[in-house]
Amino acid sequence: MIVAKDLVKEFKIYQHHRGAFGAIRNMFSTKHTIVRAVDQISFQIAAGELVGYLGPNGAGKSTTIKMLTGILVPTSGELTIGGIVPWRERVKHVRRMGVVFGQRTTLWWDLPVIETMELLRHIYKIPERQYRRNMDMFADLLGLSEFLNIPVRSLSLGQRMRADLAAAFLHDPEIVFLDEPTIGLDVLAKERIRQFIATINSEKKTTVILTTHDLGDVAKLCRRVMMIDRGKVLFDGALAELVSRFGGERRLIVDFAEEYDDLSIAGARIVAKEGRKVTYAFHSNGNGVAPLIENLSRNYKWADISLQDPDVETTIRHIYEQWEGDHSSEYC
Amino acid sequence: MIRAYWKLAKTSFKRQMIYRAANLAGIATNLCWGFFRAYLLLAVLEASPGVGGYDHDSIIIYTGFSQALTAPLKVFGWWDLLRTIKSGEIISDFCKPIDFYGMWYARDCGHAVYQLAARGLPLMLLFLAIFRIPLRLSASMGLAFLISMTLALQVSFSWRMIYNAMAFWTLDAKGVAAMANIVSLFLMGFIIPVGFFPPWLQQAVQLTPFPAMFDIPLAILMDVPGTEVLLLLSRQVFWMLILIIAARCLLHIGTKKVVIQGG
Repeated sequence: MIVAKDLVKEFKIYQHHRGAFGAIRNMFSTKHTIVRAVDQISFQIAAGELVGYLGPNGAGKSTTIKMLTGILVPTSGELTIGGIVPWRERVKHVRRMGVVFGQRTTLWWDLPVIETMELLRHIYKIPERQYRRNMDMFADLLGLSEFLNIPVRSLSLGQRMRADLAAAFLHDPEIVFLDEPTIGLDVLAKERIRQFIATINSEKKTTVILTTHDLGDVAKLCRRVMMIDRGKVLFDGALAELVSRFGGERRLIVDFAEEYDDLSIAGARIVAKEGRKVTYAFHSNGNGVAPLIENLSRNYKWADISLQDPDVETTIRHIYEQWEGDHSSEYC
Repeated sequence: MIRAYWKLAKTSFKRQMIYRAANLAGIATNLCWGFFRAYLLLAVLEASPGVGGYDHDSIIIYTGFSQALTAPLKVFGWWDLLRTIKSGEIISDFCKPIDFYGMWYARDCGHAVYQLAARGLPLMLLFLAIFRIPLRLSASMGLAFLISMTLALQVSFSWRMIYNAMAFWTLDAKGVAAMANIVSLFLMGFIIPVGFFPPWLQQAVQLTPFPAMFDIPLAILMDVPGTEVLLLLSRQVFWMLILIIAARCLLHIGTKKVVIQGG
């Protein structure tokens, strides 16, 4: 579906002059610095995939999305989506594409939600039957009918976001870009939106690319994750692999049946001890937890064992912190 | 595709209907300000009779007409496109399979039709009734006026798109745009009649698109000879085509180099 090869986007940042003549000087100013927002990234995404696109602020996520939507023309590199170069055939491309920018809205501010939906029906030339079917489906999944006749300016953020999602999926797009669709929402609203995205992705086989800072979204929705920082893709693969590779240590909590003096075992260190309950931390390094448990069973009697995997949130915080460290050392 | 534009214009029209109280307040304001301007111009007329070819009745028609067009021509400036470029909202419009210029024009039409029907027309009729001015317009002249009015709004729209498009190049385009708006208001004869200009400026103005936005429909309303009407209309068509091409070129170049703000 999407094939990107060595995509590069550079921006010129012009020097800004202030004051009465500043505006005029700004128009003719040529002093600038070049910033590489996206630096030779390559990836492929198959139809029907649901991919999480992650990275810290300023990593180049939005710039990539804007190139994928055909709004920005890359400085160099190749990109085709379903055989089309997005910025060359913009109208053809956007017809089969949907977008939600969480911080913006596509809805008409002072009119009821239904007016925007009706308008989109005409703009995308959606056949009557398809329109009805989707509106019914969204009424079901998003509770759209509760606020269809309320002006957008009076909606809560959660309702507005649900309406924006409905607007993006109304014309059965083949591919949808969601840019922070759960930003600022409460737990229930987030849950509802995640449920919706998961359902549409599995039922309509819509390709979804999701950028978010909410790791709940990622854990719940994305099997595949792409991580980008400073314009470069640093990880592209299964979420499980990301966690096992970068997630740091796993924890094994053992409840011993008897008192022992020495509880140390090879390949793990004790991080907490509370009565007979001991917490070990270890790197699994591909072997999994089996050797540790064998070792334990050979030397001790235990009553209960539980295993804690690092969660997505800890893992990603870990990765960001590592990168942060790498950057600061570059400047030293 | 036509249906999408029609629907856009209708939605834009509906949007105006929400603000009925604002509309009434607008009529009241335009009316008061209209009286003030009318008496000012009548005083000028008294001091120098026959100035610019105007008499008492035509001064009233001029004032009523300009007050009636305050809202449809967006005399106090129109920054919608500029604002969406600055805020980055333009991204949602780019992601729609619709012509960008056409989309904005459809919205402008919806707005203009509402403002003409609900504000301009009542205002004009009130003005004429209060001053007891008869407006004699034959059916053919009435038709010519309607065509001229439509063309005037079209030319005005393209001009507004052009000064808004400045925002593609500079972030402080508002100043340039406000300046462009003021200059155009003066040169189209909205602030004082073109007939009041010194002769050299009157001639110079005829070489610009500005009379096509206001002065030409006004002239037709004041009953120019029938032979001149076609010439006036074709001048409007000429400027309409030039400005459409200019606005579209600017949008085309602008969108190619645009950096969507924020995100």
